[in-house]
Amino acid sequence: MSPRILIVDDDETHLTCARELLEAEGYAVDVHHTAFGATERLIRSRPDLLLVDMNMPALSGEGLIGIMRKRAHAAGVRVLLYSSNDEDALRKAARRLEIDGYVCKGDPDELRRKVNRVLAPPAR
Amino acid sequence: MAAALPSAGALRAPAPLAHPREILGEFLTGDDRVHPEEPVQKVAGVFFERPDLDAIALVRADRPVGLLTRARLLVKLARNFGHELYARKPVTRIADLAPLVLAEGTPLAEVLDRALARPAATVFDDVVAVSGAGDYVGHASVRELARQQGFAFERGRLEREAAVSRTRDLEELERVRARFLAHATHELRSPVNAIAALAELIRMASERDSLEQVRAKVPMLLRASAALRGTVNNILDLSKLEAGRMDVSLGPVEVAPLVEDVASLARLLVGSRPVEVRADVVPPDLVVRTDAHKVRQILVNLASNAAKFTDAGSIAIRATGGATARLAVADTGCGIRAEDLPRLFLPFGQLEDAQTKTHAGTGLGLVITRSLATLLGGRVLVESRRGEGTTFTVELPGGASEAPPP
Repeated sequence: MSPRILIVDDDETHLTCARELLEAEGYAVDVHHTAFGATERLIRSRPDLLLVDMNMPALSGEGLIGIMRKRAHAAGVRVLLYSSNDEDALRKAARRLEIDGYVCKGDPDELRRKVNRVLAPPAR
Repeated sequence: MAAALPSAGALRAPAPLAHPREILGEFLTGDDRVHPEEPVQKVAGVFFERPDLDAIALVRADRPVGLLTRARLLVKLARNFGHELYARKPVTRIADLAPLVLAEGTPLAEVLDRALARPAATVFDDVVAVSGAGDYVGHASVRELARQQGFAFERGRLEREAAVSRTRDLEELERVRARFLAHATHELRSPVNAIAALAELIRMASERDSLEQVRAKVPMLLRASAALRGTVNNILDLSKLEAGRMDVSLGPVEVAPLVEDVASLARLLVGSRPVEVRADVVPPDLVVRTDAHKVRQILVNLASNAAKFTDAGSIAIRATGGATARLAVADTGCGIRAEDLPRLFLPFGQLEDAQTKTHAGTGLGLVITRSLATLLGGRVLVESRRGEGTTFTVELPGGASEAPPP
């Protein structure tokens, strides 16, 4: 069964792009438009990877990951930040949150490469 | 005399003034100097060897002719081809050739007033101190001066508070600039990234000969391009305004067609929402002597804001004549809380936090609107009640008098 990815992003265009790029890689992709209900969605969707946008209404990606991280970690879900923010800011946020990393929006190759890498690690 | 001394510490010679502790000469941070013909790479070497060095003066025959700050050097060298362009050139090519130069006897308060009156880009640059004869004595850090002023005014609490709040203003300015940069970066990157990803998807779809999927991407591509174009234009306009490079061309402007035009645009933006857009010009043949293009930009900004924040009700675009012409855009939208009003005209001050904002937009529209109104000799007023709506009024000079011309 192909790995499942849940993308949380409020921007419809970015959501569509990421979904289609990753589906073309053979992943099963679920999308969620807001931080609200994302935890519930995480439980229902049982993804292998969570891709979270940084800037979202009401609750930022950082805030959301802060809330979901424990649950995600316990379930063995990988987590990547996915944003148009400055790369330095993303790197720092990813380190602070102790997640698997970040992907800068806008580079489809980077998205494929980093997603492929975290979903197919040499040895767990 | 002092200029020949080796270090800043040695410069603290008694000054011939009544309050020796409160003059520029007492607070020099260094007396570093280079010859104006020195090549940039050599001066860069000095900065790299001395991490504490903030600035260096360009001195010819003991007279200061310029100032190079570390920040300016780094910016010049870091930009594209900076090294290739400048490394072998004389340091005058990248230095500030009109730094703030003041007599060492200038009172601290005056030094700070003059330093802080400079444009934002140079407000932190060191102040150059000269002797009574005009010879270079040393340079002083503005931050340090502001701090020293706090100490120097121990006698008067009010003055001390003023000094402290000045330092705070400086820090706030720096924070605002950092925030501006972070927002600008995100607002520019987001649509660029969407365009890049959409282009890739279109490439993939066209390889599969799937015209249908290509077609599905085009509207998104157009939206992202429009958003990018809007942000780029706003940022460029703002830079132009801040640099004082925006030209104004005054002429008689017929207001009614302009207002009607903006109203049509607002109707387009409102789309299918139940919002009535009205245009009302009194007198109907109102002519104002102003800059048509800028007034249009002001009205478009205000009307698109109204359209963005109004889900139901009305948007009224009104214009009245008189000695002062008034253009108002009144909506029945979500309104603005009283405590948020002061932030309204800050760049990217869109009242939500960038990381959690709900409404699209760069948060530059109102800043530009106010700057444009100022440029036209007018001002922008705002009245708002949370939940009831907002009215922006632009007052402009050059409104025709009520009486028709003879």
